[in-house]
Amino acid sequence: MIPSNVADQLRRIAGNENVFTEPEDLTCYSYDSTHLSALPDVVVAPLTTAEISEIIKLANAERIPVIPRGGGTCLSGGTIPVAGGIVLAMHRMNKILEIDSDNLTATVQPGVITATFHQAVEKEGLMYPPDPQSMFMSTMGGNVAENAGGPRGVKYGVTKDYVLGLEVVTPTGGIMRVGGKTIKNVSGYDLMRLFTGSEGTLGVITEITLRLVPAPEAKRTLFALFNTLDDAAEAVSSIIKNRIIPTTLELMDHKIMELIESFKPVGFPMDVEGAILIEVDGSEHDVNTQIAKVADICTACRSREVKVAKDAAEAAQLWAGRRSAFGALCANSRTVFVEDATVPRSKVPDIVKRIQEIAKKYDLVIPILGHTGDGNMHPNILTDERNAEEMKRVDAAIDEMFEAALALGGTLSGEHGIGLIKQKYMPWQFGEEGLAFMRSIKKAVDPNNILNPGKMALPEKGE
Amino acid sequence: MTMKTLKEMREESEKCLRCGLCQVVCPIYNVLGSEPAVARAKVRLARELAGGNLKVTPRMKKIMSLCLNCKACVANCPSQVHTDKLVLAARAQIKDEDGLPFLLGAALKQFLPNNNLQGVAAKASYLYQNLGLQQAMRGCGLIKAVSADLANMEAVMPKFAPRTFRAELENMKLKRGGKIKVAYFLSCMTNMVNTGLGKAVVDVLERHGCDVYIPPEVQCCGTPQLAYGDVETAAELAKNNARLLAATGADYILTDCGTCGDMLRNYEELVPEAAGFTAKVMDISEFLVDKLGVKPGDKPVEAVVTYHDSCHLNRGQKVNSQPRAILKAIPGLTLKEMAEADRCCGGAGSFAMTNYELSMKVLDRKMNNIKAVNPDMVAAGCPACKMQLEHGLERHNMKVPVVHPIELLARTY
Ligand SMILES: Cc1cc2nc3c(=O)[nH]c(=O)nc-3n(C[C@H](O)[C@H](O)[C@H](O)COP(=O)(O)OP(=O)(O)OC[C@H]3O[C@@H](n4cnc5c(N)ncnc54)[C@H](O)[C@@H]3O)c2cc1C
Ligand code: SF4
Ligand code: SF4
Repeated sequence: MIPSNVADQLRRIAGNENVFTEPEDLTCYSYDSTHLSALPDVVVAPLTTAEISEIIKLANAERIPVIPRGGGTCLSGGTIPVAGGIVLAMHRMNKILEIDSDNLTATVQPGVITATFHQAVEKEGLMYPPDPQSMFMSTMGGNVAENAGGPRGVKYGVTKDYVLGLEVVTPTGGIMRVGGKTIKNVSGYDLMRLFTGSEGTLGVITEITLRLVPAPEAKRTLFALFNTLDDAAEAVSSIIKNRIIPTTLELMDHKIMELIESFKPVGFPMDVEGAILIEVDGSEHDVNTQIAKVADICTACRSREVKVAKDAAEAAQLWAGRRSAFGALCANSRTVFVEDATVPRSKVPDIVKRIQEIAKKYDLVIPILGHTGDGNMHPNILTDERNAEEMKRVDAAIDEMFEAALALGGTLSGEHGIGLIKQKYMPWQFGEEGLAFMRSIKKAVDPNNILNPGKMALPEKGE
Repeated sequence: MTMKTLKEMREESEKCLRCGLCQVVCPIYNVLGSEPAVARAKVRLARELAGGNLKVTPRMKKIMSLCLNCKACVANCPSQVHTDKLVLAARAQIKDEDGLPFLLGAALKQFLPNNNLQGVAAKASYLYQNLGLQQAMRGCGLIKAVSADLANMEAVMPKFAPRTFRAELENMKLKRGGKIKVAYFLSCMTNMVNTGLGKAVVDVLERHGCDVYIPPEVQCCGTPQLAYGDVETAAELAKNNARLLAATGADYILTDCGTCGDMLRNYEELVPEAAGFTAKVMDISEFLVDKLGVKPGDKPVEAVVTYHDSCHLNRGQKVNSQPRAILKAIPGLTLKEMAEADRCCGGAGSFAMTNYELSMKVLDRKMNNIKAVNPDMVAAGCPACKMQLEHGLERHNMKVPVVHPIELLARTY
C-alpha cells in the first residue's frame, strides 16, 4: 500500500483525469500478455517528460516502485507490478515528432504504436526495419525497452541496431539525453545499448531517435517444401553458410502448417514434415539472383518442391499463412507458451532435433516455428494451465530447452526479454559474475530500487 | 431464460490469452488508447465481476458502457472470445443490481415496445422539428444550457417522418398471390424515420414475386433493451415477436436493418420459444441475392456509391457480399469501395447520444474514409448507421445522402 496522499500529488502533477486508483483501473493494468498478474496501487498517464521526472522524484521520496508500460504485449511479464506501486501508462505520449528524410532519421515519443510509425515512414519512401509480430499493438518505447525484433531481423537486425538517440528519465528523476542524430557516435559508454533491452529497469524512455533505411526496390518470396524437418533446418543453415542473407527466413514444421490450414487455409501442403518461407529484398537484379541461389540450395538440401511466388498477391497469401500462425495456435489450445530460445544459425538443425526429443520425452505438443534465419526458434508449447500435472512437464521441458540452447552457444531470449518469466535462467547464461555486474549497475543508478523492481534477476527490495 | 448470465460465461472470459490483438481493431481503444477501453480489459473485468472479485460500481458501469458492440474484437480474436456477449452479460448484471435510470427505463420498457406511443412521439417530434421549434431551440442555446447531454442527444436525433410507416400501412394495399410468402419485420427506425425504406422494401419484394406480411403487433426487436442490460424486457419482446412472425406462416422472415436482423437471429439464445425461428430470418439483400437472384428494373441510377458495412450486418450476420451485389446490379451505378468499409461508424444505437464526443471521434475516421472516395451517395444496410453517418456528413459539410441499397434498387423500376 502506498501513502494516501501520493495519489493526490500525482493528480497535481499529471491532472485529475489522468490518475486512476479505482480497482477496475488497477485490474486493467495488472496483466500483460503472459498469464501472470499483480495489482498496482495507482495508474498515471503522463503527457510530458517533465511530469515523468516529477513522478519519479515523488516515487523516490516515498520509496514507491514505478513500472513503465506501453502496449502491455510483453511476453515475459515485464510490465507486471509485482511489488505494487505506480504504473506509468505511456499512451498519451504518442506523437511522431519528426521524420527527417535528409538525415534518414526519425524522432518519436515512446507511446507511438509501432505499425503507425511504420506507415508514416513508408509514406516517405523509407523503412524502419524492426517488425515485431506485435507491431500493431506494441509501442516504440516497449520495443526499445525489450529490444524487440521480428522476421526481418535476419537481414536488418533488431531494435538496438536502429536506436541513435534517447531521452531518458533516470531512476532518480533526472532527465538525460544520450546519442543523437549522428550515425557515428563513439563518445563514452554506449548508453543507448544499455537502455535498449533494459526492460524499464534503468530509466523511462521518453523520446527516441531512430535510424531509417531506404525502402528496398524489390522483394521476392520463395516457399520450399521438405520431406523431413531435418532437411528444412539444414537448408536454413546452408543458406546462411552460402552467404545469402534473406530479409526473412521462417521455418515451419508439419504441425504448425496443419494448424494454420485448419484455422485460415492458405493452401499449405499437408504431406511434408517441414517448410521454409523466405523473402529477399534489394535491387531488382539482386533479388532475382538471390532467389535463384536460394532455390538451388534448397534443392541441394533435398527440397521436394521449390515455389517462387509469381506476384505480390501470391507472396501475400503465403505470408498471410505465416502470420496467422499465432491465431492458429491459440484457436487450438487453451494455453500457449511462446518460447524464444535462440542459437547460432549453424546450430538450427541441432536445436530443432533437441526440441523434438524434448517434446517426445515430456509427451507434449510443441509445434516448431521460428525466425530461423537469425537462429531465433519459437517452439510453442500447447497446453492447458488448468492441468497441474501437465504444467509440471511443461516447466521441465522449458528448462531443458533453455539448457539445450545455451549448450549450443545460444541465448535465453532472441526477442521477448527476461522480465519475470526467465529470471531463473539468468545465472545459467551470465554466471554469478555477470549477474553481479548487472546488479551493481542497477544499484548505482537506482539506489532506491524504484524502476520496475523484481525483474531480470536484479535485486529485490530487502535482498 | 436461456441467455447466459455473466457467471455462466466465466469460462468464456477465461479463454482470453491477453495477447492484445483486439487493440488493433477496437474503435474505442483507437480513440482513447488506455487499457480499460480495449476488449481485453472488458474481458478481464467481466471475469473478475463474474468471480466476485470486483463489484458493480460507477466505474465498472462506465467501462462496460465504453463498447459499441461492433464485434470487431471477436472477429480478430485468435481464441474467439465473445467480448460482445461478455459485455452484454456484464450489463445485465449491472442492471440487475442497480436498475436502470428512470428515463431510460421508461424509454426501453414503455416507449420503444409500444407501437401506438411510437406513432404519437414520432408525430410530436416531427412537429418539433418542422415548425421551426428545433432551429429556435438549437439556435438560442437553451438546450445546451439545460444539459450538454441533452444537447448532444438532440443533435443526433433523427428526422422523424410525419406519419409512421405503420400508420401508412393501414391505407396501403399489399399485393397478394405471390409465389413466396415472406414476413417483413418492421424496424423502429423504418417505422418512425425512414418510411420511404419501408415502401421500397415492400415494392421490391412484390416485384420479386413475394407475398409480403407485416404483422401489426410486432414490436421493437429488443436490441436497445439488451444493450442496456434489460434482458427481461428484451426476452418478452423476443417471445412476442417470434410468435407473431412465425404465425404468419411465412417461409422467410426478412429484415432491412442490420441490427434488428442480428437480434432476431439470436432470439433462440434469449427465449426457447424461438426455437426453429432463427433459421428463417434473413436480411433482405441476402434473401434477394442468395434465394431469388436480384432483378433490377432498367431505370439507371447514375451515381458513384460507396458502401458502409454495418457491424451487425457484416460481422453479426455475415452479410457483406450481397448488398454489394445488389449495388453492382443497378444500372448506371458505380460502386467505389472506401478504406475500412467494415469499421464501426460509432453509432451503436444510443451510444452516440450517451458518449457523444467519443462517438464523434470514431465517426471522424469513417468520414475521412468517405471523403477520400468522394461519392455521390453512401449506402448502408442499417438505419441506425444511416442516422449516424448523416450526422457525420453534416458535421463535415458534405452534402452526400445516405441510402439503403434496397431504396436504390427500388429506384430502378
Ligand atoms: C502476439 C504477440 C507477438 C509478439 N511478437 C513479437 C516479435 O515478433 N518480436 C518481439 O521482439 N516481441 C514480440 N512480442 C512481445 C512484445 O510485443 C514486445 O516485447 C514489445 O516490444 C512490447 O512492447 P509494448 O509496448 O507492448 O511494451 P510493454 O509490454 O508495455 O512493456 C514491455 C517492457 O518495456 C518496458 N517499457 C515500456 N515502455 C517503456 C518506456 N517508455 N520506457 C522504459 N521502459 C518501458 C516495460 O516496463 C516492460 O518491462 C509479441 C507479443 C505478442 C503478444
Ligand atoms: S484478442 Fe482475444 S485473446 Fe487476445 S487479448 Fe483480445 S480478447 Fe484476449
Ligand atoms: S465490440 Fe467493438 S467497441 Fe466493443 S470491445 Fe469489441 S471492438 Fe471494442
